Amino acid sequence: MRFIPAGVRLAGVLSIISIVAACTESLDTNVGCPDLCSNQSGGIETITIDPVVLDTTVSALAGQGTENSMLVATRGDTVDSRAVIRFDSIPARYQKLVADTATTAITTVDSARIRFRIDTTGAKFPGPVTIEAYDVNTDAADSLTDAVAALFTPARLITSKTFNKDSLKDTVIIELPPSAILSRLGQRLRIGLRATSPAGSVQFRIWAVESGLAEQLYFRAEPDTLVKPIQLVPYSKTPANQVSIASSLSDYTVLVKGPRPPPPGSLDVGGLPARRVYMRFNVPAFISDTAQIIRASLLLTQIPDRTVDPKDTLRIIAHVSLATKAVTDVARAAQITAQTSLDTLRVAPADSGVKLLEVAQIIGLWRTQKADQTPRAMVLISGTEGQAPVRAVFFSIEAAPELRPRLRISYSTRKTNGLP
Amino acid sequence: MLAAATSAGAQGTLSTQGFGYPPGELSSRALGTGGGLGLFDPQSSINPASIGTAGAPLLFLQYEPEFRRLSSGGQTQKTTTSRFPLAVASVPITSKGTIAVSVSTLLDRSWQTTTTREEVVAGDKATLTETVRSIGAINDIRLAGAWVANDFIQLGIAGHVFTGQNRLLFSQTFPDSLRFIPISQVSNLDYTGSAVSGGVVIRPTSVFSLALSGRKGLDLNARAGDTIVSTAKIPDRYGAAISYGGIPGSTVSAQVGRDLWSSLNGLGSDEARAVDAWDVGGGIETLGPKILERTILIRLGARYRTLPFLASGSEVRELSFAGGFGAQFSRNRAAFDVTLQHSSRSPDGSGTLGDIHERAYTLSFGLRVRP
Repeated sequence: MRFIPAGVRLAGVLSIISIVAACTESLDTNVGCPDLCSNQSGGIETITIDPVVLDTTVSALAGQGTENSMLVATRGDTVDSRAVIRFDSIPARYQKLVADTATTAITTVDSARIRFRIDTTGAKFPGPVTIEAYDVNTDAADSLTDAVAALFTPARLITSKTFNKDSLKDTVIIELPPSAILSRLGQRLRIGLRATSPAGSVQFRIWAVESGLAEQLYFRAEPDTLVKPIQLVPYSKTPANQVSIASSLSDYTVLVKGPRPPPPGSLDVGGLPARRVYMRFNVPAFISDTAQIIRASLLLTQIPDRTVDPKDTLRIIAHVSLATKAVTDVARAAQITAQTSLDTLRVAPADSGVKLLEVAQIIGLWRTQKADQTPRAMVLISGTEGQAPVRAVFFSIEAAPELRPRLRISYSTRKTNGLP
Repeated sequence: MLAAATSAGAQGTLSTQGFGYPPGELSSRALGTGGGLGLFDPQSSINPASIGTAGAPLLFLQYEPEFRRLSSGGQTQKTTTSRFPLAVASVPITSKGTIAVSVSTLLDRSWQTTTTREEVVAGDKATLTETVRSIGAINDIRLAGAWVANDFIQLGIAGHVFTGQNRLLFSQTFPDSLRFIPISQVSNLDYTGSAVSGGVVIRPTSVFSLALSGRKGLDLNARAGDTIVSTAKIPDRYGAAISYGGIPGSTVSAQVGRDLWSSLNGLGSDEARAVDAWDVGGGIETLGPKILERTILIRLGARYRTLPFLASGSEVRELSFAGGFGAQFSRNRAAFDVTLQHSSRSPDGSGTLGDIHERAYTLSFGLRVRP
């Protein structure tokens, strides 16, 4: 073995260390700035434009019964909202045991009850709350909710139950008289729910089938607990041959009375029946195509609205409309949306003045769309759409110039070709 | 509504102003002698006549990391830059003729700055982090031919194509991602240019050698996409060197060069102003100890030059001291050179810069192989 001097070995090791250390570049430095870094910063300019060419309020929901939760509210002259739950397949026969191949006719009913879950967010329980269950079975067309509303009469009352306000937390169970089931064996049972309180306005929400927390009808065909009980979830057989609509109508809200409409020419978001705002934009090409946008804010001037819950908070989210120009009905275009904006505008209905909603992500998405194929539009949607009467009202493009919806854009003015 | 195109600005260090730092087109060996052997050395690409002494086919590759430290106002920051500034392939074509192809870095424009500041955007104050990064270089691809007329003189000529790309990346980011969205810009700048050069090596005595070289720059275009955005000339370069081998086992050499960098003015903005520069240096290469039965060459040198581009109106001076060694392996079919160079760079005081100065250690590794 040949002797390698220590100096040579040290030089070799240092060389290898240096090569390895230099493999990763680290170029970042700013200690010489600003003297050595002048003229490389990017400026930011802000402009405010009036690009809205069309704005209108449209109905929010895609169809009756598509809401995640149903508002049950009795609020004097402002809101009267009820829920209907359909059980269109009450069995006439049952199996005593699972292994049985034969079925037995139901002749008695025991422990009948309906169970549902409620959302107490924004609920109003001024004191004891009475929930009334009505038989709202009718042959009227499904779209005729007025006919259903007319069935909430004393003659149709199945039962009622009064709850202490502290006991209304999550799950609500209302016992039903056996006759309510026995009279509907082999037929359908449609239950309408209404809430009242002698202490004042009542309001809460029942989670609907669409939320995944379906209501349940429970009863026993025999008092013997060894016999399996019968448990039914909402089901609608009408309209016939329209499965999707029938599924939505397995439970739905009946709005008997809603807040009075906002002033003409205004835009309103939320409320009952739920509404959205559709806004179509004509954005200058340099903004939509080339400018590097750092911030984009939709400026809305709010009109105070004290119709219902004036101090509650309403969350408004801007969605981008994905409807192509083939969709000429803006009400339908307002249903074809996607959420891209991260910002939420929180307002109280009684607020006034200019409100800001950040929409830079939407303008970024518009760049990927061809304006001649997909109109540049956004839709303002309530975070509790169809579930609460609270709403916010804004001036539209019909208002004075300083009150109209506007877009404030901040963009980078830096443009370099790379030359030093 | 948009601002007109602006320049990419200065670069945060003294040495990478304008279109970048010139590594010098010198081999590790020449670097170790302060550039004194540069005009005689076949692995350096500044004198086409020098390839006449290559003797046999050779391949040469150089790796050159630089560890830089910039100080200003009591603050110091360190950077690391990796470069492969030189590659050469040469082959004899007759007993007296040699041709060579080399690729070397003329100007290396690699730097990055990151700054954070408060900015008012649409009436709201926002913290803005801005990063500007440049990578790329202008490279010199040279095809050279040399002819050794006799023991007294050898001649060489070369054609150069200058090519390369600068990629400039700019980004602004905000911690508040709800209200602000980050932006980024990428600019690519491509260069094409040409030049011709010639040189001579003269040996009036057995111990003295003289070398002269000159490069005449032709057009240099900067393109963004398909568009020529600016035009200038490749800088002319003139150099002379002398070496003395009268000391047994040693060669003492010195060189002086004049780079007419000002011909680059107009290629960039007025802020990227280039000035003509002197480059002088010298050193010694001497036989060192034998290690593992191999003779080690020891080199020492010093060099002084002006960098091409002004920094905030000041010329930037660079003073370097270098030392290194070289050895041959595999029956002298391979050679390995290592040079460590320490450079001090500072403004000349004519501008507005304060106490900014730069220190750098450059490690140069050269590997030569005779296939």
